[in-house]
Amino acid sequence: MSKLPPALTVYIVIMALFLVAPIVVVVIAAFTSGDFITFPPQSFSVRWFDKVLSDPEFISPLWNSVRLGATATIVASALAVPAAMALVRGNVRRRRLIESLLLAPLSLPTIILAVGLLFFTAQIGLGASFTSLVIGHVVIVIPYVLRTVLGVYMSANHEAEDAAKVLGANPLQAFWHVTLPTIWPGILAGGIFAFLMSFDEVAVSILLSNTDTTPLPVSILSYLVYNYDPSVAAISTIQIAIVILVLLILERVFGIRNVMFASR
Amino acid sequence: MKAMADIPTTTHLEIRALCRAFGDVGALATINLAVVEGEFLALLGPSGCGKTTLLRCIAGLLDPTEGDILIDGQSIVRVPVHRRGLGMVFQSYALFPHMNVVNNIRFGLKMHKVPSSEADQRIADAIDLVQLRGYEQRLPGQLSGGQQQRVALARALVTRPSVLLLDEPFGALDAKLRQSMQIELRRLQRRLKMTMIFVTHDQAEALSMADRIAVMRAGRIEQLDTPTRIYDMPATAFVADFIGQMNRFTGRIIGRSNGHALLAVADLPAPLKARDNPSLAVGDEALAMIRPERIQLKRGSDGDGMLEGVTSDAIFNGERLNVLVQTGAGSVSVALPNVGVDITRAAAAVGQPAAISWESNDLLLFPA
Amino acid sequence: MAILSSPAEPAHPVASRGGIRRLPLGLLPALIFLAVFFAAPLLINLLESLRGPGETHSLAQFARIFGDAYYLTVIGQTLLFGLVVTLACALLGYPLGYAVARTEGTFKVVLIFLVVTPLLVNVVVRSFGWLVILGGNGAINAGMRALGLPKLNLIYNWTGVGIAMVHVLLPFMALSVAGTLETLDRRIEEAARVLGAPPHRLFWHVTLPMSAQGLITGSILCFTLSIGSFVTALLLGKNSTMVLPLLIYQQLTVASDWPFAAAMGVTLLILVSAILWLQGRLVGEPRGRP
Repeated sequence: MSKLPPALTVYIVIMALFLVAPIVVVVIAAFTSGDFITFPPQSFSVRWFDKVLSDPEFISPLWNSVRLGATATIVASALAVPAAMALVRGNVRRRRLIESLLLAPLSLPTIILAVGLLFFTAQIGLGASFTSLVIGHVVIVIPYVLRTVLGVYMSANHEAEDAAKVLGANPLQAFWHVTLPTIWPGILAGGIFAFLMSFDEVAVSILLSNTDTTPLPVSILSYLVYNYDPSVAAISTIQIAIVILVLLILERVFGIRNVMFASR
Repeated sequence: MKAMADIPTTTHLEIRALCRAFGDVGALATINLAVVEGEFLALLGPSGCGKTTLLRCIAGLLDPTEGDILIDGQSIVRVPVHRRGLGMVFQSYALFPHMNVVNNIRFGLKMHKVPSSEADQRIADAIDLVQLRGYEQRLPGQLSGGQQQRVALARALVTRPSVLLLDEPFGALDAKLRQSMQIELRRLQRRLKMTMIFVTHDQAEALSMADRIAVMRAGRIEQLDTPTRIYDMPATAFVADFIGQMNRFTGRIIGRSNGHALLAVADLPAPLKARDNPSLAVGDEALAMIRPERIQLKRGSDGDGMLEGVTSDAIFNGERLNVLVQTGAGSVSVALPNVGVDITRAAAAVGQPAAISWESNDLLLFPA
Repeated sequence: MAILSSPAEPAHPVASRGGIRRLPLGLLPALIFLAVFFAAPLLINLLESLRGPGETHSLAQFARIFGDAYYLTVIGQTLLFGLVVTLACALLGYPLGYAVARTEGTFKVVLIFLVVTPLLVNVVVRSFGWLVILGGNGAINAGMRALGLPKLNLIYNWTGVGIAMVHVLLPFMALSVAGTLETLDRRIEEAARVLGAPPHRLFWHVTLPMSAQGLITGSILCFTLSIGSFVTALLLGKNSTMVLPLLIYQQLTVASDWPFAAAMGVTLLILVSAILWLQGRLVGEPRGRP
């Protein structure tokens, strides 16, 4: 158990409440039976969930976010995994520099990237489209996958790959039979994290989406500008539920602390 | 250890003028080496001497900058790793953690597309060979270090490689286990008549296992010879010092007589007689070395010995008693076999005057 | 039969036969992708900001920004806001990070969960939650009314935006601090205790200085993220609480003044880069979001 001084424990409890407050409030508000958001709610019902789940205005963006996140994660993984392996095993000069370059998107506010991509995609004729969204999300999300895969791969035993090669495996076979099974948890963890960050992204989504490709955060945002009823709370609760579920899976598969303190 | 006459003299693996420029560490500078069929060769040296680099070049995991590697006369230096048909065992065992024992051993056979009926038979034989029957379904994480190493060995041998390379395979095992694995490996090697190249930094391991030892230093082979000759007739001061223990004296060659060289050592009344080294000329500075166990110790100094002095320490280590004698030429270490502690201690007699002597041919000379 | 190796000549390195390649192939897809879709857009952004009448290049857009008191105020507000938020995060987040690092077992996992979950719930949803809590009819004011106390104005002002922003960024600070504390050599603290340091002095003179890097990294992260965020200001603020990213967003969507927006984007980029450069000087190796 914890060995913290009691004052600190009290502080942690207060902070924990602070951290979960808005989320809890949204979830509670979603179960309001009334037409408006009041706190605390007078009575409870699930009517808003019914409304939201059958309303394409909400379901469609949810689905958009899911497929956007999945696509971006897959593309980002396909780019990041070979890069991570090359960084660890190849004798690369200036390894640190290249690593920093690849992780650079982590340090920039996404609005800057979004603006640049807006101009860029306009110039190359893509405009606001699903492809543009995927591109933007991939750029944002690559560093997350790269980081976890780097972490897992650096601590793996590379001699097993050497052994496979001496035993007759060509580089592709060695990767498939030996390397991949070892780094798979890292890819999965990074991918899950990437998916969640994509789900969370607003700036790029807002600037690069059109009516067909609106991701969930954007549609909630525009809904909020004109309305203030519990349907927003309901759809948000669904999103919260997804996040918590995915985090639980992540904890099972990989251990959440390993993702947080990965690499270097 | 086989006598020279028993070893077939067919060259199995040959290394010609191999170089590898690699910054400062692990570089190789013109290695020439011919390994004989069925030979157990040890590459011995301190860390950074290039022995692992050389092994990995043979395996194909590293590329040399110049030179050639040949097996049965065919150059393999441009052949990629997975087609060289060699076997390799690593210090970290390098087993595939997600596969059980059988599948680990099967891997090489799968890569070489050996039909499964034959593969199954070979795997069963290999498991018997390393005495791991009953462990087939275990994962590496469920095996001890010694067992993992045996799986690694089986995995490498089952593909019937032409040469087996071993990179400090017993380094991670404790002393007793290491000894028994060494004996097992050697027995196996003789039975299979397989050529093996074995890298180690442990000289006792090399001396006990190898047919020949290549002592390496800074990317070069200093001496390539049988263990006894490496021990008794080291070619250079480095080899002499690296293997076993040595006493050292510095002095100047002042002459030769009857096949011996005469060495004048400061503070000694008379020159020492040593085994002649033709590369040294009269007047040269020289380093003289002798093994502690080649020195005789006598109580009292009645003017008979070559050096006289006083016993200062007697250090007991079980098999021997190491006696330090302070002489005019410095501290000399004498190794007395333990033939019964009381007798030995009486012979040592710390604090008493003592005289030490040796066969002149046991005092070796090297350039300073 | 002693075989001595031939006297060795120094090795003359010949051009490497593929032993050490310059840039492994595996890196290329990622590097190319980022070059095209990360670096190029930033470049185009820069070019767009320099667009003048006709086909010329000019700094006219930047002149607009820096010549107008309003825009300068916005920039100043943004930086000040970032500073205040960062300070709050540092003070509130350090103990949180400390707790995460120094606990064990289930408690630790639960704590990490609590810290990470808000991070991954969409910022729109979180800001919406704060609207519910802080609003005129929200949770806090409901409580105030019940107690007979006057209503608190907590939204549509800097307070509301500030609280929500701190909520968003607190986990980053906590995780950064926790990360550094986790890698500290506990034996140094043990040595200090054996030497006679009581807990508060141990913390002040040993633990805190040694975890300074995490604090600095976290602070810089919080600062860059707070001056780059616009959703919170959009939902919880109003025109008087204008910040630079929100201005950019408005210029792009409402006014459709692309060159101007681009210039502001470049300004923001320069500000962020300056901070990151500062971090490089202070810490030696830039890190990003956890």
